[in-house]
Amino acid sequence: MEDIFSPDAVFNEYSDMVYRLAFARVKNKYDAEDILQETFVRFMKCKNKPTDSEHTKALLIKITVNCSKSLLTSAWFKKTAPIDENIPYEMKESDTLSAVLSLPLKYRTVIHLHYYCGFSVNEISDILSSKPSTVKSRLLRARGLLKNKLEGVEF
Amino acid sequence: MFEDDYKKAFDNISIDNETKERILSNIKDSKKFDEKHTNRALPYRISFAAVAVAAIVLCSIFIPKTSVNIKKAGKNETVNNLTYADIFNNLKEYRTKQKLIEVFDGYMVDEYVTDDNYGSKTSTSPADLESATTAEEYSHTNIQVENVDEADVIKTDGKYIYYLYEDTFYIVSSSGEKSELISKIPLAGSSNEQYREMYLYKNLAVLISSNYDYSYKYSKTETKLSVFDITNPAAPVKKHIIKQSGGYKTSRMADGKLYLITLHDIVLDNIDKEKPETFVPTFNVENRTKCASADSIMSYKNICNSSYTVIGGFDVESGTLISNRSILGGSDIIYCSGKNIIIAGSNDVYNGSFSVFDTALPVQNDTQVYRFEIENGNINYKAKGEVTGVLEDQFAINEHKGNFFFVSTKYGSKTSEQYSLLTVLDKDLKQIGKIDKIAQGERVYSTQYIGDTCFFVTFRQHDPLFSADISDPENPKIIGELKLPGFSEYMYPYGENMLLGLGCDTNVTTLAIENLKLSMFDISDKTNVIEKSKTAILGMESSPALYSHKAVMLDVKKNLIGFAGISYEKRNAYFKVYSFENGEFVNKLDINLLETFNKTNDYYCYFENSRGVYSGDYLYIVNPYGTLVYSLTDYTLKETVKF
Repeated sequence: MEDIFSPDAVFNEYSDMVYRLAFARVKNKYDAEDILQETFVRFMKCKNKPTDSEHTKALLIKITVNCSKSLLTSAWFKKTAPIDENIPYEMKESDTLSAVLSLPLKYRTVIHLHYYCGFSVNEISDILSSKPSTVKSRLLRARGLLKNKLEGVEF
Repeated sequence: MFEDDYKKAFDNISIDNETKERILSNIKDSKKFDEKHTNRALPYRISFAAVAVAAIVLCSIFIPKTSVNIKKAGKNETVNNLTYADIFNNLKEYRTKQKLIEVFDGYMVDEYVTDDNYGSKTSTSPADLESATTAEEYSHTNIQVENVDEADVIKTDGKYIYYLYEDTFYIVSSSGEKSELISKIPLAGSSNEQYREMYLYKNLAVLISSNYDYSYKYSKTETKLSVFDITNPAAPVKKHIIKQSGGYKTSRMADGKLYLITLHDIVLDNIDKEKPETFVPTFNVENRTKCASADSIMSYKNICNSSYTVIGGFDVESGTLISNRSILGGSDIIYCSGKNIIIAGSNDVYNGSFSVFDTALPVQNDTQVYRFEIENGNINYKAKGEVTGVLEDQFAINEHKGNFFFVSTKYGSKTSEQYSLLTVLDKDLKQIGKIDKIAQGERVYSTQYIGDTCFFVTFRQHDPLFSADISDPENPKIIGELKLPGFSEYMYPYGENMLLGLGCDTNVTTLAIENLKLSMFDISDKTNVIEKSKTAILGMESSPALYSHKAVMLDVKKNLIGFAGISYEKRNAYFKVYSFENGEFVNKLDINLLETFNKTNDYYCYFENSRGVYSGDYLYIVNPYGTLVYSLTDYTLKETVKF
C-alpha cells in the first residue's frame, strides 16, 4: 500500500494549498514558491508529525503562516517589494481576487482560510492563535470591505 | 457568490509541474541537513505559539503604522509628571476605544525571531592561553557613530574572538595558525530564550537575550543582560544578571554605559490598578524587581497603542541600573550620537473613518521624534518633535553641531505621489530648515552624513545619489545629483573623500534585481560626485549585508571589505573579500563556504550568516560550524577550527 504520509504524497496532496495560501499572503509567485519550499522543509523536520490528514493540513497551514511572516518582516522584503505595486498579472484577471488581495494582510488571511480552505472560525483561531472573537470580527470587517469593493456580490 | 468566485480565482493560481518537481527535490535534499544548525536570520524557524505574534507583526507590515487613534495625533500632547493612576486610566480608556473599533495594537513589535531549542554540549578545550597575543589591529563592529558601540553577534579584542550563536557562546583564540577553540559555553535558558547580541567592555562580555513569552499574556517578555567576566576566557564567570521588560529592540554603549532599548507590550485585559507591574515596565537587578516610577514614564493624553519603549541606562561593571525612561507608544528607529538618543516612531494619525482600509496601501504618516540626553547612564527627556514622512533606518538620522537632521520619504497613496525630504530640527526638536519634495516618485534607500554634507540615494526610476549641503542648518540645499542605475542599500565613508556603496544592480526596464554591486564614489567635490568604480558581485544574489550594516566587515585602514552571501542559482554560500586599490575593486578572496567547511550536503542558506573579522594579519570567518583562518598576506587557508 502506498504510504499516504510519505514526503511525495504529502507534497502532491498539499503543495497547491500551501502555495495558494502563501500567495494570498505575499502576493507574488517567487516568494510564494520560496515559502512553499521552506514550509515543507520545516514540515519534514517536525519530530511528531500528525498521522491523519486533518492535522497534517492544519500543521502545514500554521507553518505556511509562519514562514511567510518571517519573510514579510525581513528588511529585505520590505525594501524590495513595494506593497502597492506588487500586484501580479494573474490577479488582474479577477475582480474578486484583486479585491481580496488589496485587503490588509490580517483580513485577507482570514478570508483565505475561511473561504478557500474552508476552516471555521474556531479552527482559524487555533491556527492563528487568536481569540475566536478576533477572527470573527476580522471576518466581518473583511466582508464589509469586500462588499464595498465588489458591488452586488453575495456572501 | 463570493465564495465560488474566490475559489475559482484561486484555483487558477498554481505552479507548473517543473517548478513543483524542482521544489520537491530541494525539499528532499534538505532533509539531510542536520537540524541542529538552523539559522537565525532565515525564515525557517517556527514556533507555533508565535503565530499570534506573527499576525500582529504582519499587520504591521501591510497597514504600516496604522494604529488607530480616534483623535488626530496633532492634538496629542505628551504628558509628563504622571501618576500610576493616570497611566492606568489612560490604558483603560484606550482599551474601551479599542473594543469599539476592534483593531490591533502593537504595530511596533520588533521582528520576533522564533525559537528553536537544541541541546548543546560543553567541551572546554585545554587552553594554551600563553599562545594568545593581542594583535595590534583588529576588527570593530561596523558602527554608525564613532565611539558609540553597537551590539553584535561577533566581537574581537585582538586576542580572542567571541561569537554568540543561538544559545552557545564561543571563544576562539585568534592566534593565526595556532588558533583554537577556548570555550564553548551553553547558555542554558528556557526554550523561549533567544540570545541576540553582545558587547565587550574591558574584561567583561555582556550578552543580551530576550525571553519571549508567546502566550496570550506576552507582556512577560523580558530582555536580559548577562555580564560575564572573561579575564580567563577558558572559564568565564557570570557576574551579573539584569532584566528589563519587553523584547529587545536595540542597544548602544557610550562612555562605558549600556543603553538598552526594549519594547514592552501591555496586555490590556490583564491590567490591575493595584498592581503597577501589570501596566508599567519593570526592571530586575540582582533578583530584586522594581517598577518604573511614574515620573519616568511619558504618555499621550490619548494613546494610540499599548506598548512602551523602555530605555534603561546600565553600568555593566557594577551591574546596576542607573536610570530609566519609558514612552507609552512604540518606536521604529533609534539613533544614538553619544550625547543624545533619538527615538523615532510613527505615531499615527487616524482620520476617524474606516476608509483608510480601502486602499491597499494606507497613507503612512509622519514620524514622531523624541530626544533624550544621555550622560553617564542618566537619561533625561529633553524634547519632542515631528518629521514629515517615514525614516528608512538609523542612518537617516544625524546629530551635527547641535542640530538634528532627518532624511525621510513621504508616502502617498500612489507611488507617484511619494517624495523624499530632508528636515532639520534644533535641540528642542523644532523645525528650523527643510528641503521639501526631492525626487518625486522615489523613495530613500540609504543615507550617510559626512561632516557638512548629507548623501542619500533614492530609488525607483532615476536612482540619483544626492548630496546636500547642511552647513547652514536653516538653509540646507541640494548641491549635487548623480544619476546611476541600481541603488545602494548602505553607504559608508571610506577614507577621505570616498564613499562606499553596497547595493544592487537593477534591470532598467523591469526594475528586477540582477546582482549585488559595490560602488566607490569620489566625493572630494561635493557638488560633483563621481562613481569612480563599481564591481558586480557575480554569483551572489543575496547577502545579510543588504539589510544589516553590522554584517559587513569594513576597515578602511586595512583596506578590507568582506561579507557573506548566497547564490540561489548555484545553491551555495560564499564569503567575499574586496579591497580598493588604484581606483579599482580587487576581489581578494572568494571562499566557497560549503566546500571549505566540507559540508556540501548541507543546506546552503544556513551559511549566509557567516561573519568575518580580522585580527593582525589573519582573517577569521566564523559560523556555527567553526572558524576558518586565512592569512591576509597571501590569502590562503591556514587553519580550520571546528566548533
